[in-house]
Amino acid sequence: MGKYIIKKLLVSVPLLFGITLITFIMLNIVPGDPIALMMKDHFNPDVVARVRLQMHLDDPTYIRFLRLLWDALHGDFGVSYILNRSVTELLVEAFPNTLILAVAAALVSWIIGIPAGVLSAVKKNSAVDNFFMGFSLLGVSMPIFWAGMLFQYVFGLKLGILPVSGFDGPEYLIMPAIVLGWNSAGTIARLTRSSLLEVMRNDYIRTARAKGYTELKVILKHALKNSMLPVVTVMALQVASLLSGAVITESVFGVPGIGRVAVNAIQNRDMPLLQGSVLFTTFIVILGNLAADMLYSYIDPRIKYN
Amino acid sequence: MSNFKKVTVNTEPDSSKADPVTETFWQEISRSLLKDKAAILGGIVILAFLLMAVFAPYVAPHDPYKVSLDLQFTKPNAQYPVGTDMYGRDVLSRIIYGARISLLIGFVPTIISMLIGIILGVISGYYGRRTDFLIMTLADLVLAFPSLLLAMVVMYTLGASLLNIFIALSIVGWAGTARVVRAETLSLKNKEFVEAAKATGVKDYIIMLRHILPNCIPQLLVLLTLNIPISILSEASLSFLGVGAQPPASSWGLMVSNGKEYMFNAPWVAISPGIAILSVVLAFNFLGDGLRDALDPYLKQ
Amino acid sequence: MRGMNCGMSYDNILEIKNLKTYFYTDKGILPAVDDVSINVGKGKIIGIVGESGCGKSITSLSVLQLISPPGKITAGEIIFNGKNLLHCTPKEIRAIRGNEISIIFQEPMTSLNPVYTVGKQVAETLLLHNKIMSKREAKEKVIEMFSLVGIPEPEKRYNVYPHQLSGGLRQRIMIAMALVCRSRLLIADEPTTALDVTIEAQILNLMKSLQKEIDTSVILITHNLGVVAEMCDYVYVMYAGKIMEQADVYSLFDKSLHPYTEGLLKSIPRVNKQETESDRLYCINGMVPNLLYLPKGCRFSPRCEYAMDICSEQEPELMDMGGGHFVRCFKYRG
Repeated sequence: MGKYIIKKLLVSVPLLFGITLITFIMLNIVPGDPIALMMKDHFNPDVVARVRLQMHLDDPTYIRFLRLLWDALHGDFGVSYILNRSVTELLVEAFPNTLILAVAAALVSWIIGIPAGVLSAVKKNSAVDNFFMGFSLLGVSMPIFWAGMLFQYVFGLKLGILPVSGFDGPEYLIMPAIVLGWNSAGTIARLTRSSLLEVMRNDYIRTARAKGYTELKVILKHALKNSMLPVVTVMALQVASLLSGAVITESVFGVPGIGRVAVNAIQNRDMPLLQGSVLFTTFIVILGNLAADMLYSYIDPRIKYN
Repeated sequence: MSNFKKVTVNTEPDSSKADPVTETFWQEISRSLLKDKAAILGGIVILAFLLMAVFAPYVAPHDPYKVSLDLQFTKPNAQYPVGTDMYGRDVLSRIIYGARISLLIGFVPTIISMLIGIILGVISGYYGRRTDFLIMTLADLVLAFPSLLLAMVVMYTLGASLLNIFIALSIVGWAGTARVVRAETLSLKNKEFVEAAKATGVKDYIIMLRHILPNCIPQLLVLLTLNIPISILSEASLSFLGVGAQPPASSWGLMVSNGKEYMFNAPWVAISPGIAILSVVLAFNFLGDGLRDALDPYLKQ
Repeated sequence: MRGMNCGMSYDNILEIKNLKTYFYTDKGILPAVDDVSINVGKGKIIGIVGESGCGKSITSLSVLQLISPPGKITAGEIIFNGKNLLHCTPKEIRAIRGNEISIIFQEPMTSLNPVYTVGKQVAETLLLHNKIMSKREAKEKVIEMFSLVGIPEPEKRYNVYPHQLSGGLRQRIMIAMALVCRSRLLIADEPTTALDVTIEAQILNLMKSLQKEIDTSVILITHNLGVVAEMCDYVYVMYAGKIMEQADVYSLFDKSLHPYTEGLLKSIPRVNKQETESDRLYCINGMVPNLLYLPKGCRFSPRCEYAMDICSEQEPELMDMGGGHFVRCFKYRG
């Protein structure tokens, strides 16, 4: 299994290189002078020239790319055009908030999603099944921003029991975590259900019954572990979808996380900030996928012992 | 002892029931789908929205772009069933016209991205080696990004507009399809009927078209049903964030975003387009679930 | 002594009487097991022979009530040690499963859970039915059992995962799992069908020696008449859910009565033929009927060489031909 992990780690390096390249190309091929655009009203050619020199904007593109790689490896993603602060600083400030939100949402999704999926599978086609699957379908089909606004309207405006926006304490976390978590929970519940149903069709489940276990024990001891394998895979993909969802959730609830930073950056055409947030976020996703890969290979003996 | 019911056994062949052996693939799928009530409901809703979109000028009670500041924020009533927005525009009519945008976004970029994915996937799987490596590396790169962020980057590059959303979603969406098609191609490549076709000199592209791709259809149908609602939600999200459709377009996502600040006194402005999004996405998901159940035996191979 | 008369004696460990297990599908009712009666004598090996779909597996699954919906046991009695299993509570049945009656299945490759070690899976059975046993004790017994079934280096194999073992070894594990509680009755459903011929011989020999050593009775289900000849004391031939013929193994092979049995015996390819026999492989005409559309009268009649008019009108009863030999065929009426 050690070989397996090393192989996966090695593959990540070119991947990181590749995504940096793509991001750089996309964000830097835009015609027009970003500095001049920013200065619009107080346009002063000398100032523009000076800033451009400072930011090495006149260097050939490949040099700029290499400089980006070098700086990035040192943790430097440049300076925000608009906010005039180090991008890294801004990201480091914002990331913990996104992390808290994402982790809270993930917990919500597992705590609600997995039992819901298991119960639905065990009581297939019953009222319980229909209820949980309806709940899950809703979570997956609702636009996150709309759900968020609805929650704000009901619990914030009308009932006044939860704060509508900001992030100054645990009560601010409740609504965003639930909204984001509901979406994730839907996917997890549906997958758990189908995975469990699939596993129950296997021969070794018949063997377990033939040993004399109650149906509950059969599920808990023999079916569950096997059905968790695909669910773990999905948990890996969850990192990406939670971060995508966080972008929206943070906008709606005013959470000062990386998502909101990215949205502001794109609205203000703040290239270094957008570049930094995208690279950083993608890096986290790749890390998350790697962790999930390793977890999976640890759980599945067919990979662990081969 | 005899709490067992008496059971009579069928000894006459019943000719009224369909003989499963001779049904075609499509007949079997349709039969399965028609048994699924949720799928039928989904299909009806989609049809309703489609009709609404196509016949919008006839269905919409008012002009969606007509501004009447004196009619700002009218509560829902007989004349304006969902009320009016901040410019006095009829929300219902805007929703009806908005269906055009959402359905177009649902179908067009999805189909384009899947076509790209199918072509690249089958080429990648069929020819293997360098081609495979190149294409799959590209796919892995695309898939490494959280999709919304990648779409945002593309929108930054191209500029915010509805057309650019089509392009962005097509670029972001092909990789998943490509992976699936490549996997199918790999498993079919070495089967006897492909070897036989090659041995009789059939051209590569014909093999791919006639022998390999038809076997991918079940998987592709499933992907289609998954990707359409994703596209719709993506566009809505992008427009909500301001990097998608621009005013005065009546994209549902944009409508929700515009209505956000008026939630207190005129909640219907933001809530109702959201209900429309939910309905369409839910309908596609119902249909998709039903299709997946119907296709289950084919996906097991 | 092999070949002894296994008729309706009191020395039976299991008596299946008029069992009916039907499947209620939305395409119709499938009479998978239709009025089947089987007796298993103590310490004997009983064979159930038939083609795929004839109901032999379903019969054995019915004994342990392992039938899933839409299947349902709708009539009959299953007497084990004097008790009717069909009247037992679920708890009582579970106590019997894996303990007094065990079953091994055809697919050793998929019958073991891939995420647990084989040792744990076998020990599980022991611990389930012997609550006071410690884990260490159980492990010892399992390793003992492993050597009994011929697994090399049993202590090492205890901690191994199923995917690390060959098919033959896995089947030995299944046998170990089935007999670890010293079951009175072992049901073996096509235990060697998925194995290579040489491994098959080993497994069958193993089963024979274990059967003597542990003094368990066996129901051996197979479609392979060679296996039957090798292993069984008494044989039941099933077709489309019904028993067509039953006899002790010598009588069945020497003087088979039912046209179906005849057909099965003729279908065995022979290497040393007489010159007068044709060069073609014999096969029984026609196909196994779809249980939804059973023919009127005798179920085998459409394929039978000797079919008479009455065969397509009435179903024959099982007739006693003496010496424990029964047959369901109008050829022997009156």
